[in-house]
Amino acid sequence: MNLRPDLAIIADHVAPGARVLDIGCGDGLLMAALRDTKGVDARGLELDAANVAAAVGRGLSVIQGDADTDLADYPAQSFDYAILSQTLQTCRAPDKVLDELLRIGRRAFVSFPNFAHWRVRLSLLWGGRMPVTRLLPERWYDTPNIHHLTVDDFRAYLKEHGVAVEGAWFLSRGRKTTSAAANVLAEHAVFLLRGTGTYNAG
Amino acid sequence: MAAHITYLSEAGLTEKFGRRLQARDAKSFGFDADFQVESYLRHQGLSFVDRFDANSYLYITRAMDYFDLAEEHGGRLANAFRGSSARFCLVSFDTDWLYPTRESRAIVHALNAAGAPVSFMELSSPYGHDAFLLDAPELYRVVTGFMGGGT
Repeated sequence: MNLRPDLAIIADHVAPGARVLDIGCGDGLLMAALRDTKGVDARGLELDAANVAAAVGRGLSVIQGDADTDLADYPAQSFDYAILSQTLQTCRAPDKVLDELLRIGRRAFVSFPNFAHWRVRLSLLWGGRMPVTRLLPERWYDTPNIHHLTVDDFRAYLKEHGVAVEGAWFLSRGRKTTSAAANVLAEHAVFLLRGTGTYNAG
Repeated sequence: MAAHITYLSEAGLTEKFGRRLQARDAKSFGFDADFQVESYLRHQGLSFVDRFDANSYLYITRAMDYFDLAEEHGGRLANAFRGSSARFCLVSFDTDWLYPTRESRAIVHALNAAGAPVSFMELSSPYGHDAFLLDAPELYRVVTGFMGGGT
């Protein structure tokens, strides 16, 4: 099993036999790994039709849909974990999606690329152009990442909204890096959050 | 004839017939089938009448009108699926206006609310409802994967 480092961290910390909703599940690699190694009951939501076909082809239960509009369909606390990996920055309304995530899941994993990583900073500072890096390979006009954020942005958001953090992992070139310098050194961040229970979407 | 149109899409019919005339050089401005598409639909209609008893269609359409799965379960479709041990897979085609995607999504919504394992996708095809009868490799892939993926 060869999972992307942020997915490997999520896979390591999901309890066996849990019910999991993977939002933006891609071709279902993480879901399949969770099912095969931990007996997890995994469901997925994915925008791209070819990805949905690939995931269903693995025998997974995946719905073609949009995190921005279709999460309201899921009952509160209907999953032990709701996972949003590398998808937050592509949402039209990331704050609403986070609200839904914390409503649906008793716990939620959120992973995103850190826009304050030093490579991104240097690229903008010296190049004066929108950064194109290994983790952010698209150019300004064809990127799906429409709401870039940094580790510190996310921490501030969680604090403002009173969201409890149960775990946080920071990655650089596939290796873990320290929490203190994460805003500069981390390419990826993974947060484990506590659900808000009975958040009312209305 | 009217029913047959719902199996097809505007794009599919346009591609097949356009506004071409049927075995004539000029429009007659009468009630005869001037256009190829009219002639085709008439032929489909006549062959239907030959093959089926019209009364059977009356009974079937009435049965469909009276069928309401939600009504039998307190008005909530989700309740109909509660306790089911089946896995579900719904596929719609974007040009199908007989079984449109939004209705499939309503079923998916109900299945989700019931906690049932459900997959759903909308495939793209220019051929409307009949797309599922034509060569549809994506559909085969999804169905094959779904049938093989028993958990």
